[in-house]
Amino acid sequence: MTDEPDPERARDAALLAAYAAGDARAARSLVETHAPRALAVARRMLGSAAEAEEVAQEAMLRLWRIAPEWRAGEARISTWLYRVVANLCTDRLRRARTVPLPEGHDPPDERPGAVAGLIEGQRAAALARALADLPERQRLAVTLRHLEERPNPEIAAIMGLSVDAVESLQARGRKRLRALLAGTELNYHEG
Amino acid sequence: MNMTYRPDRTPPEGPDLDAAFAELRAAEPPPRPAFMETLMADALAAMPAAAVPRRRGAGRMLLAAIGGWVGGAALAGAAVGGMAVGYLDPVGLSPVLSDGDLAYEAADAPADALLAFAEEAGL
Repeated sequence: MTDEPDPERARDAALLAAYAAGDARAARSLVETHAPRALAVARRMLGSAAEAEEVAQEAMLRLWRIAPEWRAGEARISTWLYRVVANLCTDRLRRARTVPLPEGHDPPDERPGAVAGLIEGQRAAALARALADLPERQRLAVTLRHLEERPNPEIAAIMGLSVDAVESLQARGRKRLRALLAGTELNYHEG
Repeated sequence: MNMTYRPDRTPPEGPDLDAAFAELRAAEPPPRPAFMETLMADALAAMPAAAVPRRRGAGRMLLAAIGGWVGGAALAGAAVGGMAVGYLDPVGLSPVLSDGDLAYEAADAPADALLAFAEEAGL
């Protein structure tokens, strides 16, 4: 750990202080910077655009509530927000696994793979479907590293794991992705 | 036409994951504008109350017109004092208010002054 000043943390603290003091422009800046990222991770984790919006909205509401107590240098907003989003997604995924659906309920196809249909480009769509098939923690570790482009120490802080554990999840995730994508690119030839 | 599976053609290092991730990042749909506006409305609604300018109601406008809380308190005090005088009819004020000479002098003073002025002017 170093004690070097982190410009992102300082900027985050200044924006949240301005928001808490009633600056609407600070609020807009925070929304435009952080909400799309929170939404993207929630989409990737839940596979449902509607549920992802609910999670991102709840995470942003929590940010507004904590703004007056935010201490400069304590954390980056992005790290804090990703952690909140990850926890909210985990809660939803667990509930979905344990709560039985009412009789006769026919839910729309909102598995993670369903979002892939919205994405243009065959390779990107195939990757999105493969990501949806990863176990939850591998999916989060890979998403944060390769789609959100966060450094592993930050991902470790978000997931509450060691950097080694994060790297292990990513390695297993990438291996499984390769296998899943190789399966979509079976080679045939006319015999 | 005979389709035969040939797994040996798959490159040993597998598909190019990094290129696929780059495509997926670029293909990420942006948030809906209506959703962003909802978030913005949430932010303003949750903003600490002291910092948010509020619309002034009729009560606040009336209070401002009479000089704010200080003016309002002074007006209320004067009103209570007036009602107390009317209700209690303080004894100390009665001779002044009921003395016929004093009342006459006070009432006629302006008329006397006008008469003297007219005489001096030869009217």
